[in-house]
Amino acid sequence: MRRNALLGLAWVLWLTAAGASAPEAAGQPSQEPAAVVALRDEIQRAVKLSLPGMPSPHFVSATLFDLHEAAIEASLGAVVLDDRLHSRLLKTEMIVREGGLDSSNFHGEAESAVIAEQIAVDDDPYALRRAAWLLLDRSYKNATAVFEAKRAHQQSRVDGAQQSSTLGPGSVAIRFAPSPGPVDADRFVSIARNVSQVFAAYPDVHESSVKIALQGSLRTIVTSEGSQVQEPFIMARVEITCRTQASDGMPLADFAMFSAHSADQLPTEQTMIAAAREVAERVVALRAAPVVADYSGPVLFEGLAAAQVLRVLLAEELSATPPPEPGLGDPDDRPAFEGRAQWRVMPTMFDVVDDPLRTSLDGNPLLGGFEYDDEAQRAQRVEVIVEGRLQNLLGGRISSASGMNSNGHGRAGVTSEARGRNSNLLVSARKGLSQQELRRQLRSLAGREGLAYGLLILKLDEPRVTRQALSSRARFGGLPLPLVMMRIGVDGKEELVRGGVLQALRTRDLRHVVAAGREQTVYSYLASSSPVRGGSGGDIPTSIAAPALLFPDADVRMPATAHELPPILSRPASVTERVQSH
Amino acid sequence: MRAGGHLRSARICYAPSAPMPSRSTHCLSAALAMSCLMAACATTISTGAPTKPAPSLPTIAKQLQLHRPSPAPASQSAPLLALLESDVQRAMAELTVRADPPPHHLAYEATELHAFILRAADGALVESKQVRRRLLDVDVRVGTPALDDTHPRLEARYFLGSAELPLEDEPGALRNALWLHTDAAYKAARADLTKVQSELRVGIASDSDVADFSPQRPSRFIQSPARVVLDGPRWEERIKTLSAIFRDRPHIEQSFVRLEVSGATRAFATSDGSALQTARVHARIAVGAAATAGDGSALTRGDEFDAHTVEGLPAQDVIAARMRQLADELDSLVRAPVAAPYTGPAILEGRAAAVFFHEIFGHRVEGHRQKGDAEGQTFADRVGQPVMDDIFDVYDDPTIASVNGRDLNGHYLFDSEGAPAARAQLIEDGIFRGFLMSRSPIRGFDQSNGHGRRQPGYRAVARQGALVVDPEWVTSREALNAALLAEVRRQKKPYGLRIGEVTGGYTTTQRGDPQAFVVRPVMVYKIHADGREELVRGVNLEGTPLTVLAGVIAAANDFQVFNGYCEAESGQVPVSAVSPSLLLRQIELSREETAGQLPPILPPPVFEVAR
Repeated sequence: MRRNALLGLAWVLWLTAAGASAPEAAGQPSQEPAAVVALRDEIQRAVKLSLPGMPSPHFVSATLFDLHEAAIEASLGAVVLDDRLHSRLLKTEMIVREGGLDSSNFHGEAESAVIAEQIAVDDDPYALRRAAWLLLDRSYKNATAVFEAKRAHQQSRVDGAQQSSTLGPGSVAIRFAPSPGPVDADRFVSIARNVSQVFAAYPDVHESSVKIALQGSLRTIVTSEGSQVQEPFIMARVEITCRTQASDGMPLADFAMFSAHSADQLPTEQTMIAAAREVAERVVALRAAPVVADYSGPVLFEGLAAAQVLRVLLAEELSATPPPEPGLGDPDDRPAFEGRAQWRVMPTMFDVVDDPLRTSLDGNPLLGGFEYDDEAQRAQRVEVIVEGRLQNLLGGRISSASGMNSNGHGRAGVTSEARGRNSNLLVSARKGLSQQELRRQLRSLAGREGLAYGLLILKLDEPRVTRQALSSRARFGGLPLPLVMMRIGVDGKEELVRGGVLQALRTRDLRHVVAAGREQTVYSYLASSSPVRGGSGGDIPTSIAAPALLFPDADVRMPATAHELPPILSRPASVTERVQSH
Repeated sequence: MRAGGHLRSARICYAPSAPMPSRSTHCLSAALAMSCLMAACATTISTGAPTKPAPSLPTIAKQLQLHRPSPAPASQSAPLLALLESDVQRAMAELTVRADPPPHHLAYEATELHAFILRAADGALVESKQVRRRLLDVDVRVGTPALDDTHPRLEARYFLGSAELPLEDEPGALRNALWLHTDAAYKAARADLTKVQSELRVGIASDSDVADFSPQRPSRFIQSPARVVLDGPRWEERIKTLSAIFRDRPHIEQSFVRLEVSGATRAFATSDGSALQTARVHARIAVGAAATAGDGSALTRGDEFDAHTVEGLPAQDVIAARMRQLADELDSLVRAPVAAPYTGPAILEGRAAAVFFHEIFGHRVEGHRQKGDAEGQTFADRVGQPVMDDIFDVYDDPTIASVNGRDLNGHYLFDSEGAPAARAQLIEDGIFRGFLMSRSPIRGFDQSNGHGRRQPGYRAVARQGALVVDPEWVTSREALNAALLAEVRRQKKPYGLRIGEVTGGYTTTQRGDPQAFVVRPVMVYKIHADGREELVRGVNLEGTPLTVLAGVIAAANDFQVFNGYCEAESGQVPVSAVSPSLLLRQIELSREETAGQLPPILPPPVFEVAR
């Protein structure tokens, strides 16, 4: 695998620093990269920044992203987009401290002390130093404003001093690595064109697209504590999407996604064509499917849908980083698992680990991995839940006053600060059932409730991919709309249905899951860097591996919104002429 | 201020170039705008008929050469245009039968953009990219030409959104996009018509006796597609070398040199038979530098070099010399005192005067602003009346490609509604004559003069293209300077002003807002009675249009071109303004906002050490 080959070129050295953990391995760098030297020199100047009456820098970091990206999109056999870009972003962060209080984790009206800007792609140390000089200057000034606001906020609260977050201890690491270099996207132009042509054979599919995104990057972190960490990252993604409307106007969509650690590991063109046919045929079938009726009863989430449910109900609740002040104290903002160590949060059959050091599961690539987190801390495998009991949350260096140390899960977006976040979240069930056994159990539960059928959900919407309008619940962190859903009759009859909104599923419902699958499905996505749960969009590669989940009781209801009319104009015949003539 | 695609308050900004990264802004906040405009209301300037200029000024031969090219039609076919032509007829025929109410007009516009963008700072390359996009705009007008969905109403919709078209001429993919977006555009227009009818019924909508759409004789013209090629490595080196000029100035914090070379090929077909393919190549080098004064004021200096071809851009040494001049000026600005509010006579130098006319006059004579109760309609009742001294002609003529050898950014052949670009005579011998017209008629003016313009994604409205201030006679610059000093003495002022450069501005045209403008001068000199010049900073130039126009009393023979991008309801469009230096009897300066940001605490890294 190319990623491992690159890591093999790197060498690792752990140093001891004030407050840092013990060194791990030793070695000597042959030559420090020029970018590292430039950033280190500017950080050494920046730690001396001062303003009258204001606290001094306590922690300074600069992160340089060298990004090679390609984005190709095709529709109906024609290229719509073919962008290639090489860019560099420099992000600086400053934490000032006085007494026991520092400026971390406070989102008031003052501008953030985390600042990012596009900088020169040339290897020009002076240009890099100038950019770092200005950004660190702004970071420091903003940090002092944030500190003052945090202190004022704390002074206005009875329990402020006990609750405020601070920067916890960290280790120091030095590790250099080369950039993965430009991505080779040329051959994917014809692949995107050929795969997208599949949809021309389906006149009932209104819109379709095939997107291929390749990224190779090198992240360089330099801190005032002495860390100098470079880590390459390569990611290749394919998104195949189609959309249409039913005759009653209901919007329908389906998608297929593939992710890999390199372009070479992506599926073959034939596999992508088969996936395109599958989603096209499913959307056509959905047009003819009956609308789901209001439903209350057992729901089985299989395949991607199970992992998508766990993204919302579990993964987004695992951060050990407290929500940023001044929202602290609002019960709605508190993570569901805060202060619940050793509580049973899932049935005893479940184990959950988060392992950033793992790169694949049963041959399926896991995209959330890293050797060092975005705070230059060594990645660690963390047991999150053992036999249903919560063991550990996922932490970076920002923690509450009584909190834990980093366990190597400080993850940040390219332009935001690090928070504790999941990387490769692996959920497994002891004595998991086969698909057949699970569906039988669904029918049995439905029958016991006097229902004619139980609901099986295979896929939830992925709004970033399908560009579907988000339902209000999804927008505020609820579950996305079901895209592919079936009624499983008590008599065994299986029928595709469309429409419906999942209601009333919360994190605590995970305690009542009655059965789970044997197989795990890997779901890779770009998580939001927002400090608020459920933020849309995002740039943090993340994977969840999950078994099918059978919930004993969930509500699915028809959405209240009216649909747009189907097209008045007839579709031009020539759209499908070419395919039919072949 | 824009919200949800509607222009709630017509604040129209004029910006010469892309803003400086993270430091400068070209639009003031609404709160600040209000405070500035209240200051303008306090002035007391005569608004009577224009008075004659000082009679003693000598006249000299005017140097104003306008170049209007005659582009050759293409010899090759235009496959995308042919597809648009056939599909616009097919869709119109089908909608006429199946849609209720049917549309009365349908237009397709595909804009193919191919751009090279290079940016450097501090001697290093920041960005080097190519952009290729094909955007589709579908204009559907539902109802009748007398009353359709575009009728003026309270929450008119200007942002419609473009669709991305395939970059390749694959008929099936293109037709699928046309089909979906025509259908969506029709439904949106039909919903708008329902709102118009509802507002008419309850008496909110206005101008019910003026038609909404004027007929236009179909045009057919096919130009060869725009082709742009760039020697990337050579230009990367050029702009890196240029950007190092700013790096070596200690007072400059941030800076950039940016090259953009773009080719836009526009295919346009309408249900009434127009079929156009036009091509525009634009090359621009923009340079900019920013510094912070001791009081926290953010200071910028920049310039742009525009041409219709890459080869038409100035030579490296010309740009380098200008950059050194800008760096010197920025250094002077950092040390310059902050000016106090002032009213008195001033010379607006050519480019500043051009932007000034764009703001105070050009936006107010856009046809659609004379329509609907929401607009201030400053000039609606002024047709045939004197508004300036009788030596002045002002017109907007997008057919002019260059003036005195300088290429105009606002040059085009056909507007966004398919009307041929034409000269719009706005002021003749000081008398106000007419408006910039799109295909939206107003009282007394029922035909387009080719000024219906838009950025892809927006609905076209009347906009400026190439505005020219053209006095009947001009004097020398020396004579104009002497006339300023004479005016200073006559008004018993301690000094007059010379406004050398402006960075942009905005104007408010809607009722309920002050009918005022704000222009941001950057190089402002006090001209003392003894002829001594003193650079000052930190002021805005503001006022009300009728008063200021009446106070323009003389012009020099130094016509200059300002090329920029103008932002209004129909998005950002390239524009030019041409003017000689002008003597104004009275202008008003007010204090500008200050960023309040301290200069960098540490000195910049030392270049030699860092190397």
